[in-house]
Amino acid sequence: MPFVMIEIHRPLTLKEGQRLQLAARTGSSIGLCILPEGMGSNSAETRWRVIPVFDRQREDSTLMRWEIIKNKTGTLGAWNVQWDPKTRHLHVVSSPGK
Amino acid sequence: MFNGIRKRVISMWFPRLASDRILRVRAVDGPFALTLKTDNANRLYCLNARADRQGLHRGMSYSDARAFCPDLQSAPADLLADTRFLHTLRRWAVRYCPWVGIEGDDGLVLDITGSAHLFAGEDRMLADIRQRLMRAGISVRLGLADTRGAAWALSHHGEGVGEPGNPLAALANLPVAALRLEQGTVTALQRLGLRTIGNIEETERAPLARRFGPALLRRLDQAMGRQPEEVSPLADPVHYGVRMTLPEPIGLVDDVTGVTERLLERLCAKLIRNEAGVRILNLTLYRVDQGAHTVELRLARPLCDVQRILSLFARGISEVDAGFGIDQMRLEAVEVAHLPPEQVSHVSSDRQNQLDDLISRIGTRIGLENVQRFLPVESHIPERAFAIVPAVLKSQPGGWAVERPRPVRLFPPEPIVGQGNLPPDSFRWRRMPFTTARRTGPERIAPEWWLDDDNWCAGIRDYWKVETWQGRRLWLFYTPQNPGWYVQGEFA
Repeated sequence: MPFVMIEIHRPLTLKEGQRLQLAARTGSSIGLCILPEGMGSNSAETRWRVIPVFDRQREDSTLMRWEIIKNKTGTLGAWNVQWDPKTRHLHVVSSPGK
Repeated sequence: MFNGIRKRVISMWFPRLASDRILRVRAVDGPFALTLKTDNANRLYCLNARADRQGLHRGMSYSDARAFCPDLQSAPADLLADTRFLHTLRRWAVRYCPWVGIEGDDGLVLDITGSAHLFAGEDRMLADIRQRLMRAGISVRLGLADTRGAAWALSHHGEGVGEPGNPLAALANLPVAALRLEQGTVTALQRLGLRTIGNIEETERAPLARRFGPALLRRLDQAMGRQPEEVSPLADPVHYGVRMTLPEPIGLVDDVTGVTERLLERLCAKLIRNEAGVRILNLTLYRVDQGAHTVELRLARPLCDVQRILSLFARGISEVDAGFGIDQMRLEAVEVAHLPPEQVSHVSSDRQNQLDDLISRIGTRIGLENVQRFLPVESHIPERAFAIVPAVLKSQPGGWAVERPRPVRLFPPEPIVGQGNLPPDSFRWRRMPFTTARRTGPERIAPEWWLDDDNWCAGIRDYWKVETWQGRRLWLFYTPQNPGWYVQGEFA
């Protein structure tokens, strides 16, 4: 699957963001931009916040909380996921401490 | 041999090839010498005539030469460039006859059998060679004889023309060194009183063979024409360049692309025939108003596929200003690499091809060397376990061997407050408070003492993976030799 990852250290201007968005749409591929807090572009389709979460049960765990904080086409939500490096899969798990 | 046609060979010797090559470009008025470092000493490698007259000679040490001749100008010798220059001269010499071979480091041998009459005879031909080389600023000694050996002898020991059918006449008075013998044999022959080729020819053969082995008589026979010695011409390198002249000037992008496609078809057919792929292409567009525009295309890997190359040219062509029209186009493969045919199977996907094309396409915008990738480096030091190299470089065998988990994000060490050799229970990092929930470690990494690295001057490091209640999983290290705690990375 075509996939482009970008890491930025300054906010994208509206023009740049719009161009990236259009390019991703015409290429029907995913563009993922890793950005510091508060530097999101207005033209992005969705924006996620990823926070690592401490896992009481397992060592070597990669428990994370994925929150969708902007979605142009749907609703917001949050998931707790865990990355399994062996099978290369993401597992959605229930919220810790509940 | 040649159905009754007598064989004739020219030997060209360029006694000052290396210095002539330099002086052609940059004339020096005065003694000039090229120096070469041999056996830890700078020695004279090649000198011009003025330096010769000052009493300098080849092989002399450079400091001695400077003492003899204070105004000596010098430059370092470049043996590779000299060889290239000799090959250029070889290509030039093909104008006299098709059989031109290289003779040693500084000579050419031409088999002019049957081509002398094209230059109105041998004398006119020799005069023509001499004149043209003189005009080019290259000193030459010419020898013409029936055999390669005799021609060599004449060119290196007093120039001359050997009489057809009677090689001894020209060679009889030449010293024995003219027979291309080893230095030891030459000395031994001189001690015996055999100083000239004529002397050897008069001597009985059997004792000579017993004493000096077959090499001496073989060289003698080769010079006299009793044993054959061939001239082996070198193959000309394949020229990867095509061009097209158009009857009417064109200006539309589609037309230029069409012509480029036709040129590429011809070029690629040639490449496929020679099992080669092109790495760097130059497309030159000549405009009606004598202007020219060159589009350069650098490819991520050697290619010989018309459609793939053409699609990569699209951007370069669209940027050209056609002016009043383009009436001539030239396509040249500047760098060509070997590309053997590959077995195509249902397993091999064209994914790698797509990626290479993407790298080429991005490379045409930002420069091919700016498209980079990570490669593993064998080092335990986390900062040095990878290298960032241009993506076009071939990857080395050996993958990413990671024995222990490494953080996804690595940054320069940031100090935190902590005591003792266990990770602190609570600490502040980047103005955020953290409480340790779980710690894994330590993993001790020693600095590479053979490299001088300021970051590792604090000595060995004990790395800990610290999971905090706040969620973040950090990579901390402790330096026992110089107590202190640092954060260097963050896990996923």
